[in-house]
Amino acid sequence: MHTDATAGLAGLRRSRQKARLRLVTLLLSLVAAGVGLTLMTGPTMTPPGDVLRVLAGQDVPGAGFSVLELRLPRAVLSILAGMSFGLGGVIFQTLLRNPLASPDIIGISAGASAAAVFAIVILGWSGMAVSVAAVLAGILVALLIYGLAWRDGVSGARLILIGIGLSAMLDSMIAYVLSRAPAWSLQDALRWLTGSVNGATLAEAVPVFVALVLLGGPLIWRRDTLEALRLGDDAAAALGVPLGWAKLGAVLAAVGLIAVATAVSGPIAFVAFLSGPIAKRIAGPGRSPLLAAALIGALLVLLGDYAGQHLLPGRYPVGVVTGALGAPYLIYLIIRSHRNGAD
Amino acid sequence: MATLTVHALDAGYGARRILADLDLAVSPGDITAIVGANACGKSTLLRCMARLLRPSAGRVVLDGRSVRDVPTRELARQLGLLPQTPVAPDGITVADLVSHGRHPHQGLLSRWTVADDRAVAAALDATRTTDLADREVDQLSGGQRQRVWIAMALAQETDILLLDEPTTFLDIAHQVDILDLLVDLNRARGTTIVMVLHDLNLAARYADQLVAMRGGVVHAAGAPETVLTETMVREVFGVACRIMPDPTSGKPMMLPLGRHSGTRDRAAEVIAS
Repeated sequence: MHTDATAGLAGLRRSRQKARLRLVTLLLSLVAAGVGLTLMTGPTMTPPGDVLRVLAGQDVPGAGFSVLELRLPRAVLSILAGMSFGLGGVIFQTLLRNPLASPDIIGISAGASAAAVFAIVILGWSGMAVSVAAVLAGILVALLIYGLAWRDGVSGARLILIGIGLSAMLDSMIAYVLSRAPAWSLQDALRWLTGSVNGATLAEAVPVFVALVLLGGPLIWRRDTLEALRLGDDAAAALGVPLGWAKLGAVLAAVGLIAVATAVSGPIAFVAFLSGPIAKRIAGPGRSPLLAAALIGALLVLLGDYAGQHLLPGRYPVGVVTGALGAPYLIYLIIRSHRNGAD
Repeated sequence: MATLTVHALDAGYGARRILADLDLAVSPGDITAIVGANACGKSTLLRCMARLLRPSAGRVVLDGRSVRDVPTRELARQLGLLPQTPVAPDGITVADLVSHGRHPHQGLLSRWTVADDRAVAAALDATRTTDLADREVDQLSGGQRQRVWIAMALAQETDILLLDEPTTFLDIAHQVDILDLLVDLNRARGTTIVMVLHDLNLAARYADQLVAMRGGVVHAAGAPETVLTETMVREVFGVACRIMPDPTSGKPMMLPLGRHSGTRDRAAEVIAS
């Protein structure tokens, strides 16, 4: 009896799925274009044909080393770290229903970064051990913020302010640890303060890839639960969402994504913060655009790094470029939230 | 038909005890309205029934099983709850919001099916919101928005539906509209409805069972004719009143008496009595 309406609903859903598919395809082609640019550009330009031949395994004199050893790892790490930051950020923003509640604003990236730099500089660790330390520190900071913000429940605004405070403390700890290691260069210091993909290797990118598959995969697969959580605790619980487990799982997965990527690339400034809102703006109303946010994150890092290396006078790590993009947006959000009278 | 009973329920928030040794049997297939003064525990009772709040003692029993023992998803297939003033996420469309009602019917691996579309379409149709399907919920009027939330609960296809003040903030036309809609639902699907209402006259008119709460316990429960009395209103709400039959439905109708109601002497005499 409701056949027309049923067909109408199915049509509505299909047309929106198509729109989302078009968006993802567009973003994927932009990412591919960014990878192409990164692989071609260097002190000497490599023509596309040579890049393809190198990727196909042929020996191209003068191009092989810079494409395979320098530019490809850089592009791969940019994509993986960018996706991790974009996805982790949008999960936090969705759960806490506030664009300011991004892990790079509330100190989770700074915590992971502080642990990574401490493990590397003071303890002399490397590889997987650094990732584990970063993840544990990220979780610890998340718990600390939650505990400090608790007063008969957690308000988003209090949590964000406490997170910003913690973030500042952790940044100064990073600066202190770096100052204890006089042999370190400015480039290394900048990596742990604003993030960089300089000197990336494919081996470094492996844990980031693993985290994306193991943590990002389930987040996207179980996105219906995340959507139901957006209705508020009571409504979500009445729909059969196990609130505690669902939130804990989503937060831990997001912290893991952010921390593993941070342990390799440093806390690339504002990528987590910017990706979700940009994706939402492009995708329009509807569900939280998780995949689009991840791809926007990849694009931001890829293009930010390209700009920092080749378009600006001098060479800057990617975090300097994304930081310059994110700061005005942060100011805009703060001004807007004050205008709305929110506290 | 699903039966829902509450046994010796104690519940509260932190050290604050709200419900004290409360017993209630919801009559299956009927409409139950819970009334009572502010802060008497009406919402707390609903939240315990839907297992949103863990009671400190006592049990909520659904079809002979304590709701504690029912898996979360299974419970959500039998019992729905519309919270007081729910907030729709930014930019969500009506169709998407109503589709959330299908959440408990989706398994870990199962995909959205035609049956889900059918349930959503039926819920939109029953609440006359089919034409709003692709509109954003933020842009709707208060009455439309409440119909959409009820549609979400309908798409859940539960035997029992709990509603916490479904008519608050609505003008009288929309209040009547929502209550009529709930009666339609009760008659067409046999859904057991339990709702918290503030308006005693609307509660008496629309409910088969009226439950008056006071200080965390059930003060009186039964047919509106037996529950809505001048004594009950005085004891539960602390207000003097007159009860007379509603000329159209024959159900009891309550007119409160304030200090300035009627001629001065008459009102004073009634309040004194």
